[in-house]
Amino acid sequence: MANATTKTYQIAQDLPTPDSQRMTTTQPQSWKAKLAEKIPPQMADEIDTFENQMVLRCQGKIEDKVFAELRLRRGAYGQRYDNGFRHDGEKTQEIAFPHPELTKGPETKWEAPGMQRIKIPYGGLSAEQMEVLADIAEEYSDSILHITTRQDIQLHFLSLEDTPDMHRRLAAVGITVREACGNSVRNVTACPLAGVCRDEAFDVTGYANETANYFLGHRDVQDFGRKFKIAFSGCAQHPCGLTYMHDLGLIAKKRQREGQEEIGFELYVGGGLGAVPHLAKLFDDFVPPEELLPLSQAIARVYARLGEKKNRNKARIKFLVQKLGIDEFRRLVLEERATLENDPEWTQWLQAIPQYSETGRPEPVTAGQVIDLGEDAEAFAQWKATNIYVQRQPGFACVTLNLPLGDLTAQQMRGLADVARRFTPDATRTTVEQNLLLRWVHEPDLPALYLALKALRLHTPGAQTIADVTACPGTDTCKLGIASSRGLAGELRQRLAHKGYQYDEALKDIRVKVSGCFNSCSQHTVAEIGFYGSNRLIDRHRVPHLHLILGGEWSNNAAHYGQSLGVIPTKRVPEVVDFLIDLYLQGKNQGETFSQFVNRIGKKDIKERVQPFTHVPSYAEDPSFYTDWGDAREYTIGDIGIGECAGEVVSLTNFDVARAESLNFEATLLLDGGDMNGNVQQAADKALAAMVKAAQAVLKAQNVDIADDAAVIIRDFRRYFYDTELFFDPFVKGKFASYLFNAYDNRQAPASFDRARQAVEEARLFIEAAYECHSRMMQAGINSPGAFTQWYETRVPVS
Amino acid sequence: MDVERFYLKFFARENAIDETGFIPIFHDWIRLKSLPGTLIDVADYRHVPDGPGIMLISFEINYAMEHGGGQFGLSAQRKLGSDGSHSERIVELAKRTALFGSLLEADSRLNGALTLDGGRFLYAANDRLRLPNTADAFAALQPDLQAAAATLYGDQPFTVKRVENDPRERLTALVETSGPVPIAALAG
Ligand code: HEM
Ligand code: SF4
Repeated sequence: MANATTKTYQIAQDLPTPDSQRMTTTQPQSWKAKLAEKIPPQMADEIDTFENQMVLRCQGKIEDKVFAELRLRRGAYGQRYDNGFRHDGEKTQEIAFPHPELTKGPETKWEAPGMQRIKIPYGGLSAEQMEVLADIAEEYSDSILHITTRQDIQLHFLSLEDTPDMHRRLAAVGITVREACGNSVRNVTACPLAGVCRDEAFDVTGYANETANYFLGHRDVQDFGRKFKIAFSGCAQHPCGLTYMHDLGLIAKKRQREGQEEIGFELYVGGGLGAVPHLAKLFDDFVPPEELLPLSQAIARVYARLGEKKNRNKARIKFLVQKLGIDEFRRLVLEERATLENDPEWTQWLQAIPQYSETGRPEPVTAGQVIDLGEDAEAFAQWKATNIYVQRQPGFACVTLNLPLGDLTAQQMRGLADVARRFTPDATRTTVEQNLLLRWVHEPDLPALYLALKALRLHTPGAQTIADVTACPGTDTCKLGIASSRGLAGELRQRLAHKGYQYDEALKDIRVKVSGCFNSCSQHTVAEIGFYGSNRLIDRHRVPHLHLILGGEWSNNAAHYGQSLGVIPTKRVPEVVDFLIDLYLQGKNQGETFSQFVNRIGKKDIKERVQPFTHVPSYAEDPSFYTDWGDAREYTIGDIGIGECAGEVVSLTNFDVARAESLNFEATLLLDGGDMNGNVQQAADKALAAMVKAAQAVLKAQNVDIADDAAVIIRDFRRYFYDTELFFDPFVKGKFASYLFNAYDNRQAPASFDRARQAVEEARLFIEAAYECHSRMMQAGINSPGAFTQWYETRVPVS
Repeated sequence: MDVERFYLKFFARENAIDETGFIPIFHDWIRLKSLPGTLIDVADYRHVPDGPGIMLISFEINYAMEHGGGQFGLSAQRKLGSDGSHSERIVELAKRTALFGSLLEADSRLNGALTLDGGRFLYAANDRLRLPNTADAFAALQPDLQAAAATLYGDQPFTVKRVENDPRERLTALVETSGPVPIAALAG
């Protein structure tokens, strides 16, 4: 069967035959050709590189571990069962992919469906972007768009083969997937009300977006031991920014100085959830905008240098801050800051900030019309009571779309693009509660808007109430999932809404969040009622359970984390939620919030009261306890795999050598058509560039800040790798290094076809030698600039 | 026409049925390998209004008992190419879908609650590059659909009509015969 999933593989096998043209621009009908004008060159280049790396992976030229991280840095995650095995309730069966030998990561089948995370900085979406997202969800995925707890969008069940085209279609509307996963700066989030909030110090939108732009692909954020998450909030008291649970959190602030108002940020560092949650520490109580980027950069550099790299469980910045203490951490960062050379990009963007300001449409769309809601009047009133936020700009409101489990269909998204164009200045945002927010709606337009949303079935009331339950992907698609967070959340959502709890003022501030495991991707740690997946062995069978987490606080930027009160069988969780609600409604004091109530009663007492719900009937008595929500198989933990929160730590050298490989691969393709195709010079230049890149790659072990300048690279490579014989091959000694020197010395000479072909061959050998050299160094423990310096002083031969 | 990704949908006669019942059935089919192809997993989208309902994901095809466009039915979306011309691929997917549908109709756990109409189906091109939603693309596609319908319905007269929809949506056509056709009759 000629199946598309093996296309890249075919190309990889067939190279360099003429039908390998898929990788070049000659194929007439391709998104690459069609969108060439619309994609910024840098983005186009990145996508081509990734496509080439896919071919190289199929040829076995990129290690699967390295490829996995390359793929993750383009947001392409693995998904449950992608090791080719699935438990069917009775036994584990192999999933018979046609080419099981092909992998896209360690024990990850090339052909297995995967997930794509799409970065949406500060959650800002235009109607045009919404349309493209709808198209790609329909064409490549299961027609569902999922909003995540960090304002991203995810698609599931994708074929890796479709990713380059998908990335191109996104790039054509200004969306990059770069660094959506992996050990790098993840999506920069911001309060979705920024700019319209009644309580903010100032609009953080532009600051968030410009910070995202600055760090995207920045050299100082490529060598982290783990991911790095940044969040902006407009004020301290509301939860929207969740700054306390972020690696770097910024809260907008104003102050008076010598009669002048100044704006700046409170800067927090070292927060995070996960298995070991930490609240962020105050680093500086006022950072002026012009210091925002340099200071953040200095933090990134200290983290890259001193953060844990080997043990990924200790690698988030929170562990470094904890280990050093905030004072010592601050001292090191300020020291680093002082050494940074001035970068004009630190402040250039400040001029762009005014462009982020928005205004509503001049007139309501329905001005002068009478909208008769008829029998919808009551539903409209309920919706209005829960889904509307009145903006600080008089006459305008924000409308939250309550998306069930963060999901909407491609058709709904397309329809919503129309609604956004019709009623708003095209300013939609995703929210961390897995919803969408329409801003700048004229209040008189609300009835008409309601009807438009109703036509799309996006008019569910109860947004951000107890019935608007958040869930991580869990066992549905996540490899680490222990329990079905989505299955449970779907059930809870239905039951709570059925009881009308979303309209109960007393329950207004309770959030329910469910994670499939302790990694906390649903942010359950900061929910008033949180759950995370676990399991127990009972009656010789596994039973899905959830830890009950109480005491968390969503407001005040997630200032309090909840604690576990022990586990509950998942099938009893809806009863427990009902019980807790009753307990609170009956026992609360006037004005007491749920968290305050929990603290007053005490977790010990509540735990005792919840105890009866922990009982699990025997298998014979009630087998339903032994199956998870939304599933029919008997529960097992056999499918839990190795997560890809961020792949493994892959050294900077590995990355750059992979980049060198793809440059040389491009050179190979340029020579494909023979000597008449006019690409000969370009091919020779690329081959040289590939060697320079590989040399730079090995130099990173000596100096992470090695410049991009070829002359500097050649000079340092000669000094540290050639003169020291470190790069020498055991047999041919300095031969491979001399390829680089010669090609560089002769770079001005016009290339003939044969010369170019030879250059490509030499580059291939040079890149191989770079890999070898890197492995020898790793074995000898030369794995950091410090270790390099030590070695350099003694120069013990490395073999 | 060389299109690998496209979608077919057969409608159910009834509009409401407890979809939860599909979940154990699809899990069993995966376990027992009841259908051709590489079956992978079940996806539960009951919570999404007018959404994909319950899906059975395979390597080649996403099957769904879904509510797209507010109409309940069985859809199948081919994700990658199979042998043959586009019209042969349409026939092949229609037969696979019909096999799926007839197995489901016959499953005793549904107590005969489901009947799928084999006499009408939607086709949607799921590739805006090769088959954009335009009159020209429909003209190019029509012969493939005609040929496929002729193979599926034999002597029975049928029509192939373009569905008027939003230009941003997929190029969609409705293939319809005059008489009723049990879904099982197409599966052969
Ligand atoms: C060891 C592996 C993982 C860890 C430690 C981890 C941890 C976390 C944490 C703590 C958050 C929450 C909020 C935050 O800090 O911003 C988060 C967000 C999230 N995680 Fe994970 N996670 C892991 C793997 C995964 C995997 C494998 C998936 C699914 C394929 C996943 C899906 C999500 C989603 C959808 C979010 C929302 C975030 C976003 O859009 O960036 N996580 N993760
Ligand atoms: S919390 Fe666990 S199960 Fe849920 S997405 Fe994160 S890693 Fe997966």
